[in-house]
Order: sequence, then C-alpha cells, then structure tokens
Amino acid sequence: MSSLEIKNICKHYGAFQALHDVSLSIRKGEFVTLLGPSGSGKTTLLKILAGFEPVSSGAIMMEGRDIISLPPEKRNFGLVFQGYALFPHMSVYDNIAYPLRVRRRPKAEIDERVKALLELVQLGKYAGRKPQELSGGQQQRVALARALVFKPDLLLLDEPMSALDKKLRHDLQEELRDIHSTLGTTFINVTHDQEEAMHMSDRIAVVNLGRIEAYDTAHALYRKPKTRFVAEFVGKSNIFQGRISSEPGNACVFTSANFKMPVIDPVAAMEAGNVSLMVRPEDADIFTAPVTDGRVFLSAKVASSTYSGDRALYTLTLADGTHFIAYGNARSGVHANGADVFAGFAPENTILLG
Amino acid sequence: MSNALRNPHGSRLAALILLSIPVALYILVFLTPLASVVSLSLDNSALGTGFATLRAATEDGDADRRAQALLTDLGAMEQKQLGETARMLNQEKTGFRSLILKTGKEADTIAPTMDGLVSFDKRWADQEYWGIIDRNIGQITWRHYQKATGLKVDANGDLTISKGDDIYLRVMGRTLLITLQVTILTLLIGYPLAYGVTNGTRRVSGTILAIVLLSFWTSVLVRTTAWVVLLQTNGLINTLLVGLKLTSEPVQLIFNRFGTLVAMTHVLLPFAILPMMNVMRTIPKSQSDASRSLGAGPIETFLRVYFPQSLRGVLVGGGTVFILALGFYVTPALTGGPNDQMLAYFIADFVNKTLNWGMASALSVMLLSTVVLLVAAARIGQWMMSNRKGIA
Amino acid sequence: MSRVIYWGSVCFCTGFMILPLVLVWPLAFNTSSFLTYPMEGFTLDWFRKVLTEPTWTNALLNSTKVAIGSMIFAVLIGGLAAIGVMLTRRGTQMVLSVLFVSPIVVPTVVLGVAFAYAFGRVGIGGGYIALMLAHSILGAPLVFLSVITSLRGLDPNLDLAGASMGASRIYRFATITLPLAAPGFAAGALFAFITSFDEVVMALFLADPGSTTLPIALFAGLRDRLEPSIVVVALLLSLMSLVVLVLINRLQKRGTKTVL
Repeated sequence: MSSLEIKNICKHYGAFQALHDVSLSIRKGEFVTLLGPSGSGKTTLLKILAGFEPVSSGAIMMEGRDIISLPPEKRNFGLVFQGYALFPHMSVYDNIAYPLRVRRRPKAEIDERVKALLELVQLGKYAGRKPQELSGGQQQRVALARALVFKPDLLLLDEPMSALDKKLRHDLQEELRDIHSTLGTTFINVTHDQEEAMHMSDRIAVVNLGRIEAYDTAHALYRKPKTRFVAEFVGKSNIFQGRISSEPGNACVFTSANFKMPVIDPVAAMEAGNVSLMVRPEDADIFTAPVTDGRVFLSAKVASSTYSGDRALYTLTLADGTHFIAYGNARSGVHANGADVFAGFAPENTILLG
Repeated sequence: MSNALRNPHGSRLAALILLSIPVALYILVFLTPLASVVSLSLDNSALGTGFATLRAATEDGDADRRAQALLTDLGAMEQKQLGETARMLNQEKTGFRSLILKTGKEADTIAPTMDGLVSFDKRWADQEYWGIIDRNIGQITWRHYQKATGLKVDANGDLTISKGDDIYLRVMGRTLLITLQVTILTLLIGYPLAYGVTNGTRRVSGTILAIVLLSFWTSVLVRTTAWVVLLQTNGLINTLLVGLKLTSEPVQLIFNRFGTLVAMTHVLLPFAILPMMNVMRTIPKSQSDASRSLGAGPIETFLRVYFPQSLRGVLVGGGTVFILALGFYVTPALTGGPNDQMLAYFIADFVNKTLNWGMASALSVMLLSTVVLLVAAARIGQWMMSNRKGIA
Repeated sequence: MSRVIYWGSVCFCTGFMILPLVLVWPLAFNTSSFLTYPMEGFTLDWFRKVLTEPTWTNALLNSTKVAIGSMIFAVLIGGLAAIGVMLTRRGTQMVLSVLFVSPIVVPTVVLGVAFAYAFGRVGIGGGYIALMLAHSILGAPLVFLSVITSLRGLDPNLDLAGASMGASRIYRFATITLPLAAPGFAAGALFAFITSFDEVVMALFLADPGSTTLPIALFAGLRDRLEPSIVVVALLLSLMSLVVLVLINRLQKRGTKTVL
C-alpha cells in the first residue's frame, strides 16, 4: 500500500530528455533516497515532485489522487532547499511561522507549533535571530523546521547536507533519522553521496541518465546489484568482463582474461553470453601463496595500500595490468608496495551482473 | 589591482604626483566655479560700493552724520549707478525709487542734516527707509535669498512671508511635486521591467535589457524629441485617438503637466530600473520556490517574500530618479507649459534673459544644497543599513 | 491571474519604453513634412537637407570637436585620478573618490551657471574651450569610475607573478596593470565622448554663435518649428548612441565589468 505513486514520468527540455519513463512507489512513512551522480535527473525529479517543473507526460498519485497539475503551494509538501532558501528579512521564528501564517492559522496555534519545532531542532534560543546570523548547520535545521511545521504529507530534501563539513554532516544524518522516526512523515532525500544514502534510507532509488537503475534497500543494492552502474556507484567494487558458457560434463563456467570459475547462481547461468562479474573488496583476501579451498586466486603485485588500523585497503596490479582492490587483515603488518601476493575470493561471494 | 600599487608606503610619492594634476584641475575648474556661485549669491558690491561713506557713518549712529553721508554718497553716484541703486532698493519697498532719484538729483542743494533731509522729503523721517538702507549696504546681502524664498525681515527684525512675493517658493513646491510624481511613475513602470529582466525567460530578459540600455544611452534630448513629435496636436497619438473615434477633435497632450510627466518619466526610467535590477539579481529564485512549497500562492509569495527584499533597490532607484529630476531643465522646457517649469528653468531664465546673476546663483545654491543634502542623507542611510547588517 | 498581471505589466511597460522611439524614426523618411502617420511615401530628402544645410553640418562639426577634446581631457583627468587613488590608503581613497565623482550629482543647470560666470570672469568666455573644459568635468567622473572598477577587478596575483619574475614596479605597471585596465579606459572614454556629444544644458550657457553644438541646434529647432529634419537629427544622434552602446558592450565582455 503506497502513499505516493510516481507513474511513467517523462521530461524533455527541447531535444534533451531529462527523465525517461520514471516510475516509483513510496510507502507512507518511508525514508527514500534518490541517489545519482550530478546530471542524472534526480534533481529534476525532485522539482517535478515539488511542483516547480511541469512534466512532459506521466502522473503523480498521492493517496490515489493525481496531483500533477497542482501548483506547489497546493501540494502540501515540505521542501528543504539545497542552499536552505531561508528568508533573510525575517527572523528564525518568522521563517518557521511563515507556512502557518500563509494558512491563516490562529496566533496561539502558530506560537505553539513554532516553539515545538524549535524544540525539535534544538534552536529554542535562536528564535529572534536572523538566518544569516546562524551557522550552516543551524540554518539547515531552521529550514527543516520550516518545512515540517505545517505537518506536510511529504518532506522533500534537496541535497540538504551538501554545504556542510563531514563531521556536521554525520551528526545531522543521525538527527534527521531520529526526526523521521519520531514524526513518521514520508521523507524523500536527494543526494549524490552514497554513504549518506545508505546511512539514512529505508530504500534507495539509484538514478542514472534519467532512468531509475534500481530501487531497493541499501543491503539489497549492495549485495545484489542488478547492473554494473549500481554495482560501481554503490560501494567499492572489482568488475571482470567475461562470458558464460556451459562446458560438457560441468555446470556453467565463467571465463575472463584472468581466470575461470564455476557459476553458482543457476538463474544467472541461464543467460549465457557476455557478462560482468563483481567482487566486493571485503569479499577478497590477500594471501602470500594460493591454497586449495575452492577459492579463485589471482597473482598480483601490491601497487599501493591505505592503512586504517583494523585493516588495510590494497590496490593490486593483476597480470594483465588491471587493478584489483581488496581489504587485507593488517594485524601483522602491511604488505610493502611491489610485493608479490595473491588475491583470493570464493565463487559464491561473487555477483554476476547483466 | 596590483599589490605594489595598493601598498601605500612604497608609492606615496607617486600617488602625490599623479593626484596633484586632477586635484588641481578639479579645484580650478569645478570647485572654484561652484564656490563663486555661492559668493555671487551673497555679493552686494552693486549696492555696497556706492554707500562706503554711509557705511562708515552708520557705525557711530549720529543721525545728522548719517544724513550727510547719504547725501555725499548719492551725490557722488553717476546717473546710471543712481538709477540701478534706486531700482534695487525699490524691490524692498515700492516708492523707494522716486525717493532715491529725487534725493540724488538734489543732493548738492539739500542741507546736510537730518532735518534738512526730512524737510526735503518727509519720508526720510520714516525709520523703515533707513532700516532698508542699513540692511542693504553691507558687503554681503541676503536679498536674493529673501526674494527666492519670499521671506522678509520686517522692521522688528523678524522673518515674515510677504504676500504675493512667494513666486519662487511656489516654483520650488512645484519642482518638488513634479519630481515626486515622476519618481513614483518611474518606479511603477520600472518595477515590472526590472522584474522581467531578472526573472523572465532568457528571451524576455534579453529583450527588456537591450531596450533599457538603448534607452539609457539615447540622449535625453532625443527621447524628448520623440515625445514632442508624438504628443503634438496633429501628432501620432491624436491621429490615433481621433481615428479610433475616442475623441472628436485633438486633445491637448503637450505643453501641460501631462506632457511633462510622460516625457520626464520616460527619460528617467533607466535610472530607476538599473538599481532595482541590481538588487533583484541578488534575490535567489529558491526564495520564491521555498515560499510556494510552504503553501503561499504566487501573489502572496511576491508580496511577502520578493517585494520586501527588493525594496532596497526601489529606494536606491527612486532616490536616483528624485535627485536627477530635481535639476531637470530640457524636458519640461520642451514639453511643459508655463505652469510646469521647474526651478532649473528659472535659473536659466535669470542668466539668459535678465542677466540677474544674483538671483540665478541664489536659486542655484538652493537647488544644489537640496541635492547635496539628499545625497548625503542617502549615503548615511545606506551606511546605517549596511552597519545594521554588519552586527550580524 | 499572476501570469496575467506579470505579462500585462511587462508588455505595457516595455511598450512605453520602446514605442516612442520606434514610432518616430520612420517619420524621418516620410515625404510629407507633417510628422504623423499614415506615411505618404518614402524619401531620403530630409537626410540630404540635413547633411547639406550649414546650420546642421556646422553644429555636427562643432559637437565632434568639443566631444573629442573633452574626451581627451576627461580621460587624462579621470584616468590619473583613478590610478592615483588606487595608490592611497583606504580612508584617503574614500574622500578622494567622493571628490572625483561629485560632479555627477551637481545639476547641470548649476554647473552651467557656475561655468558661465567663472569662465566669463577669467576671460575664457563662451566657445570651444569653455565647452571642452565644462564637458570634461562631466566626463571625468565617468572615466574615473570606469577605470577604478577595472583596476579593482584585476587579480592581485598577476602583479605578484610579474614581481616574482623580476619585473620592477614601473615595468609591471606598464606591462601588466595598464594593458589589463585598458578596456576600462576605453569604456570611460566612450562614456565621456557620448556625454559631451549629447549635452545641452551647459552648452546653452557656454556656446557662442560660432560653437553651436548639435544638441543646441536641435533644442532651438524644437522650440522653433517641428519639421522632419529634426527627426533626422534625432535619428542620427541615437544611431551614434547605439554604436557607443555596442562598443561598450564589447569592451565589457573583453575586460572586467565597468560601471554599466
């Protein structure tokens, strides 16, 4: 049962098609992130949801009602802008009170709601300040309070963290999650930061070249990406090009320039032909010599390594000159650059991409 | 700018040498002429030089000595100077001319005492005449300013407004009124254009900007010419009005207040638009989007979010137009009637027609000081506004 | 509703701005001597008349002379002032800038009275010299603003780079700062030229019969009798403005932003 249904949205700018037949359904109270590189069309989609951009075709159903032709002010969606767009000529209090005043609410109710929201975003003592007198993080919280104060049916966040430094970003992500679970409002967040997306969202829609490439939970996207783009964009990965063939007597076999291995996933094996195979760096290990336990071993040289205490991330150069990244246990030290090692991974931990 | 040039220590000498030329020229060709206008407006050499003896005699106050000195001075004047003196004193009190001319002609024959003077013409017993003489034979005079404002010092030394003599006061009132009307009109017409330039589509914005700049660069005289051609009795607008059967015969559109206001508004529009545009450019589009997403319709968004933020531009644009309009001459002279002429017209008139430099300069000083005060007030206002922001 | 207000007001106001000019120009080509529509036929006679009549051609020549002379003066005064001001401390800069810009706010009538009186007293009287001096005082602030804006817009690192390569201060100024500020000088010069070329009020006070400028002739013509040659002169003047506008636009694209 979804509360928001995006149906077959297309958007053209002249000859350029920004969105191709985008469909997405979002459940009530869900935290969904639109994740994609810049220019992917995620911001266009957000603007369409907010009502600032007309669509070329398609529909947006809010609890069964098509809202595509409603102007922004009739949609009752909260929106946190990238640069916050706080009104510089109004105090923090007046900024937050604005949507309620527009709705001609009684004064007492406005005061009560604004104070409650100021409390929620922990800005009680800044009510009389002007927005430009606040820090970036505080401004962001004012924008959030302003977008939530009128109990919107949906909260849209347009790269809300992009102007903040890393530490602050992390704290605000936590806070945003908390606020989401307290209020139970549906949140749609737009970002190009995959860590932020994985951290906060119930589901992530990966947007690329105006299409939804994948729409699933963070775990599913990470462990079972359907396309090479998703595999590469969500988390770190090693990709091998190769082909699947069925050898007589054996099951299916994946053959690439570097190695051969049996294919475990019978469904994937059905689609014989050219495919990509992905190995996550944490699924591979570094060995000084190959062992025979069914793992695939690739001989390589250490190109570089980054030590992070508990482990080290190695970049290896394979025999054919391509790179391979893998996490290695660093308890007993780090392999020197140029050292001859073997990268090993189990076939069942690999993922076949279409 | 290069750092070395910014460094004040290494190049103070160079600065001094470079600046000496323009500063000297500004003093010589700009400040000195302006200062001479101020001194000209107070100058009383025309009257003052003729009464040197009387001025000296007035100090000890003895009536007979004053009478003697007056007769000496008047007797020493040539016919022309006597006439001029009589004319100027007559401006203070009617009848003074005949008194001075008569006394001057007979100066040699009158007994050089107060009694002698009074018996020659009993008006000399009236202290009012002596008072006027006392006030007008100094080295400087406020006569021109008194005439310009219609204010007069009466026999008790108090300021009074003299009836019927407030013509220039009324001209100043009219100047301010026209200026204010033009300012309001330019803001009303300029605002949508500035808005269109900053918020319109590329096409709209480019078109309006090109028109504004073209208009800005076309000379005041040329644009006034266009209005004269359009508004004349047999001009295009009247042809159109009659052709559309809106009126049966041509309407008087020019040489009245309507023509003046229309042409001045058109001429001054770019000065209102450009500052408003600059301020509107700093208002992010996301502000209006935010307001819409928070539930306000387009009109409410404009009124509550956009307009308050654009107000600074309206003030700057309005102020610029106001200051420029105050000194306008050409446009009202060509499109207005006799009752639509502004202060500048009378200044020019005094110089060109009657060669009355005293009045021309007094009115000039009043116009200039109004402008300088307004500019200073605007500066201080801006400074205070930016300071209030600075506290943030 | 809001769209109607927006488009309605934008169209009305744009029309008010441009229509007077657009409607009047064709009348310069009208066969009839009445300045109204409908036009009777196309002719270039009025142009021929303006270009052969000594009143207009002499005025055009005078205007050009005065404008070029006052442009040169203005560039010298305003340019030296801008460079000099950049060399001083901030406080001094403020005071001097106010001085150098101040002629802009003085009403031209007041300047006219001041110059007519002061020049008369020192024996310059009316004529070319008086006009050039007076107009250069109007143009100098424009040059000053234009040059100082372009000097302030320069990247200070360019000068540092020059210094790091061993160039002396004067050499750097001549080879780096001045060439980069050149568009500012050029734009300022154009401002000064067109300001002088279009100026009427001061000219009315200062011109003698031998130095009547085009705007004075136009002003006198307008008060005298409306005829197509007046529209022709106005058209020529605005073509001149158009050329200057295009040139300044070019300069601003090349150099840093100047005043307008």
